[in-house]
Amino acid sequence: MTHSHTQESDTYFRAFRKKATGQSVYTFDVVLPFMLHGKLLRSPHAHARIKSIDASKALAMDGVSCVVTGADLAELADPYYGVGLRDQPVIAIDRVRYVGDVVAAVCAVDENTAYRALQQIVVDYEPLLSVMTPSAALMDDAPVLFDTPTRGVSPVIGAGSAYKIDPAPNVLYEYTFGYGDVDRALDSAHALFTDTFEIGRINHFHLEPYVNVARWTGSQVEFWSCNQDPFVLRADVARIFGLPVTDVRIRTPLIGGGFGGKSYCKMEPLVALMSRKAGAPVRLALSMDESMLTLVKHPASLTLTTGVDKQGLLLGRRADITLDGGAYSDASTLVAIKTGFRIGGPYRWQAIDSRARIVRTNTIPSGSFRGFGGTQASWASERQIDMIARRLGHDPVAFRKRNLLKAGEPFAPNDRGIDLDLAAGFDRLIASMPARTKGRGQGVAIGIKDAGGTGNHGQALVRVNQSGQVCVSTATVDIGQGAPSAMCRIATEVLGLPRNTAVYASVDTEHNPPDNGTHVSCATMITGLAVEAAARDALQQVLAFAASQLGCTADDITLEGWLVRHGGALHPLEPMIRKYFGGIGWEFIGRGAFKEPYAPATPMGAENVSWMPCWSGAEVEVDEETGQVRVLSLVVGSDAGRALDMGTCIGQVEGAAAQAFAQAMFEEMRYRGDQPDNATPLAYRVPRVADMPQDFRAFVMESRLGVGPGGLKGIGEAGMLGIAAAIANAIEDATGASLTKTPFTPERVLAALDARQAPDIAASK
Amino acid sequence: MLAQAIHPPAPPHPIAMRSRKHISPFNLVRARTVDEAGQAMAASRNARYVAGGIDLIDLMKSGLEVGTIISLDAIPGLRGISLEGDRLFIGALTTHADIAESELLHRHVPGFREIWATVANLRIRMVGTFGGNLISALPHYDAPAACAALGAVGRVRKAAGEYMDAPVTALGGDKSALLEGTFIDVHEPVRLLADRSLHPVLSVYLAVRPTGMRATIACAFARPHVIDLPLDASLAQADVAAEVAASAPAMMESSIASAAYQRRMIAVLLKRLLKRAAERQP
Amino acid sequence: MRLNVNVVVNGRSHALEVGAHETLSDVLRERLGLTGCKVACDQSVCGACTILVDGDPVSACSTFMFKVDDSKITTVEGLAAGGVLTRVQEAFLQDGAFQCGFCTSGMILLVTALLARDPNPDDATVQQWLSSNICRCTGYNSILAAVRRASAGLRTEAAA
Ligand SMILES: Cc1cc2nc3c(=O)[nH]c(=O)nc-3n(C[C@H](O)[C@H](O)[C@H](O)COP(=O)(O)OP(=O)(O)OC[C@H]3O[C@@H](n4cnc5c(N)ncnc54)[C@H](O)[C@@H]3O)c2cc1C
Ligand code: FES
Ligand code: FES
Repeated sequence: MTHSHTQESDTYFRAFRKKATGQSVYTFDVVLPFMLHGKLLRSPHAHARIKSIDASKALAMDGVSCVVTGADLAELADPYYGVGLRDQPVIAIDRVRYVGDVVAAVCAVDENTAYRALQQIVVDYEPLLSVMTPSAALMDDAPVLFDTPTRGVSPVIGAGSAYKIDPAPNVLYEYTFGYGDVDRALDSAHALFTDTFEIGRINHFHLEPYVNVARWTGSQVEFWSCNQDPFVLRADVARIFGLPVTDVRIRTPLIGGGFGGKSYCKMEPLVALMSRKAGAPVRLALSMDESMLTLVKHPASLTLTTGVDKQGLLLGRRADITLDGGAYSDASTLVAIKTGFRIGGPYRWQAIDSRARIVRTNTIPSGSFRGFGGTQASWASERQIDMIARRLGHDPVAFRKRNLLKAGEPFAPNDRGIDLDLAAGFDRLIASMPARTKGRGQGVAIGIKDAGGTGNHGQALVRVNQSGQVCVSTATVDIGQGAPSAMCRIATEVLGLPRNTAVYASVDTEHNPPDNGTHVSCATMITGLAVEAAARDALQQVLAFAASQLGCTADDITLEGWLVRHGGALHPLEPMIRKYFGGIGWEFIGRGAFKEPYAPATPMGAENVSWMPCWSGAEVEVDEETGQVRVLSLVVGSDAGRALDMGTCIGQVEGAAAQAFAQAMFEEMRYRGDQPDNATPLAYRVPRVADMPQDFRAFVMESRLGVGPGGLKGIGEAGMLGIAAAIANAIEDATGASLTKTPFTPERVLAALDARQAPDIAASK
Repeated sequence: MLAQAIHPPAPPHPIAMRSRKHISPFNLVRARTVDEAGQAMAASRNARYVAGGIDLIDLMKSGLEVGTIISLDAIPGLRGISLEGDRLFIGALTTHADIAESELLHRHVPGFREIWATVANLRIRMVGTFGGNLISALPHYDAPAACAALGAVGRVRKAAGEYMDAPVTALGGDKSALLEGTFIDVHEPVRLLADRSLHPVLSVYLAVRPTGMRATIACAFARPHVIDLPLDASLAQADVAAEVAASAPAMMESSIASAAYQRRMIAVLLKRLLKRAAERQP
Repeated sequence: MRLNVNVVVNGRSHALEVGAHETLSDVLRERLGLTGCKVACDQSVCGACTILVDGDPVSACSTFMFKVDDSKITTVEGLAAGGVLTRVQEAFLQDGAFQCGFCTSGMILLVTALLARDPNPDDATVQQWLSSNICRCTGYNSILAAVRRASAGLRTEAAA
């Protein structure tokens, strides 16, 4: 299904025309006068002490400006970063904790020289024992990654949630969540099922690698950055360098894909340090290989014990979740919280009791990946729901429907009610599935996550000039999701002006009002509400001005395009404004803000802003000799509340679903021993056209129940949820083989096919 | 102990320096004849031939230093496919795309063209050469497996100036030898079948001639594993395939698939190829 | 080693002195300012750097500059001559066949080359060609729709 865009001249078209002609500027393309280039030396050891670094030969080379190492961090106010918990040094201080950890950074006149200088740096390592998996890290005699307590604080959480920092050696964080009496619920169950599910390590593989340019002027530093969260980054850089935030300026040109990988602080402080030491602007563009060594999605193991009553009603669930956090915290705390909280899925329970732990290992740090927590939780939950239905001899569709939450019902005590009709979307999914064909299997799943983040806020400016032209300014970045045109559309709708009158201001922390970052699908919803409020404010100013000129009150008049209706008469605004202000005219500057208030009685510490469903269905055919699975149909649906642009919403769902599809089928970052085995673009397989199901469709519902303008809500992460489970459920439907580990490589499928004869291990009372 | 003492210093770790932007400067020789290329090779230290350059650039971006690069592009006669008596000649500079489009090859070795239309990706097929593929000869590369099944021989000019014909599985070791092209014996009809559906875990090639069949198994071994198969119709295909799988040598370690899986798949994929061959399916 | 290379890029001749080791993507981006040629994998995998050399799609990141001596090169900047979008660009716009846009120049050039060879490609051909380049954002449906739209447009043009 395709939705063509016909508004020739709106923001969407202007931005896309640039992309289609090669004119758009990404951070990757930014060049400054006298700019130097950086290159990084990385650790070949998974775990080692740095005994010494000798960079003298590198420094003696022509064209090399400086070398930054851990010794340079002494001059920083706080050399660590991380979300909430901060344990990652800007550059390795005296220890490296994974293959790829950065030990030295060279600035030189060009990348070639910088690279040659790297070869001249001698690092003396004392290798230490490494731990490559959570189970190894949790052993009694396991080597410990950190000797000191972790700095920082946990993200906000609320009633029913609890956390511990450093609860055990190599455990960074433990989050627990629950309500009801789980022991009682499970004791009273007619049938009890315990299953363990695993999910693989995934790389973001955004095409534009991590890239930053930093420049100092006196004590002020400015960035051109590919970071998704300019104001979060600004705060981190300010803290690390001990600067007022006003001395840190972040500009965000177009971003060539992020999917969470470019959320939160990464190597930006290092680039600033390199630039300061070099006394010149420095560009650090990682290669894609290096990007792959920078961040991954949390691999996880989830053990679920679920009790069901005689009628097939879900009673209680206990979850023990182990997330492999890798070497450093990054956003691990948030991922633990979101996995633990979301483990119940879209169903009604008497009791939930979940524990999610972040275990440190000597692997690439894990962090934010589109839909984090939700993807891990929905995989395990929706797979187990299906397995339970089948083991009880229930129809998996009817089983789900019996337990689905209704609109308005809270997902968890005290939280915002479900803001959509889960059953309606599920019905639409079922109706969209192809007719049954012999030899093929079908499976469905309903993923769900909260969206919009915790207690988030956004601010906006809407400036309307004398000619009725609009400039919308927020901190939401253009990462391909279509936010600029959505923001412009929200503003022009309030003002009653044509869409093509609005432009979206480029993002620059020195000019644009802040928000919490372009992630958790909150942009059009939260910042969108701020834009709506700002547009209303501007509209009020316009009306007040016109009223004063017409000698009436604002209530007597309305805006029609750029004309004011006063009774039967229409007055053009532009001459009115020009007459009064003269000169170059005037701008009505509307301000708007939205803040989701903190609410300690809710599990997340604030009401969840919206609920994001993912109805997914797959039809598969399995080659029982090789274990190869062919997905013939993949149907994915979500709810946009209100779709500002249906084509864009469909594109978001399809794009996420394609990622989720690949993660289910073949995508995985593998280690061999302590070395990443396929961390190169060539070896790491991402989906291509030929990999996609022939029949791949997305649909988007419009419940109108979202809190955003006109009932809209975020949709960017939806397509990630539930796909893996739907495919595994279809494989079981087709063959009886039960898959509990992603990706479903032919070998794993074959093993599951072989295991079919084994006795059913489900404990049924 | 002794072995440790004389162990050479480790080369720069590939992950320690992940930069694809760096290619060390080098001298370039654009040879106009094979002899000129060979002489340039003999005259320079640390020289490499380059054809499409895809593999060489990749190696150089990950740190390979080359003193002189000898470009073969301008040498006439090395690109293209021709019939020389009973033998088909595939010039070393013939690109994958040339092969995928060749009528002549299609006429003499049906099957080849179709297989080659799916090798690598289009941009690589446009530039990457059959010869470069044979010389690089990575375990998952297709040209060595296809050529070995067809019993092809490579025409090589050694650095000293002498020419020799070598079985394709022997190519690639001597970086100073220049490959002119490959000869495939077509005096009797031959077709080529392949199952690449599990590539790069495993691929199996099968060349079928009236007098016999030869299978090659790639990806799982450093060099394609070659097996001659009888044309005995009384033997069950599954049994033959199972026998081949059971007697295949030890597989290489890989994180994509276990050796046990690869071995089992040899039996499955080969059985399917034998069935296709018997039923004269494409 | 320095050498002279003559190329026609987007219709303009350039006599360039380059290092033997320089790649086409370096020269296009850094010398000629044609930053529409994106470099992502730098390993012939993704196709973000796809450009046309004498009409053939090629990875600029993995092509030595000396190899394209005396060739005609087209980058995305060379398509919309005089500001008029080509049919392929227009189709990408109509179908929203991109999100972040980092793959877009390469995709558009790939499709341009495909339709120049075969204005009416069948599905298998489209699959084979389009599978050469990676888009991490869209899931490809919109790109495939754009290819169909552009080829349908060519068909109508041919019929007229
Ligand atoms: C993304 C990707 C996917 C790929 N997929 C596949 C696949 O599915 N199947 C497959 O088979 N391959 C695959 N390849 C490999 C590809 O086919 C080879 O890279 C290509 O064929 C090499 O040819 P070239 O002309 O570019 O070699 P070059 O890089 O020019 O040369 C390669 C090596 O051979 C030497 N050499 C070249 N020509 C000669 C000659 N005539 N005489 C002596 N030495 C010579 C060079 O010195 C060098 O060492 C893939 C590569 C990539 C990057
Ligand atoms: S950047 Fe050249 S193919 Fe990926
Ligand atoms: S649009 Fe982002 S990679 Fe294609």
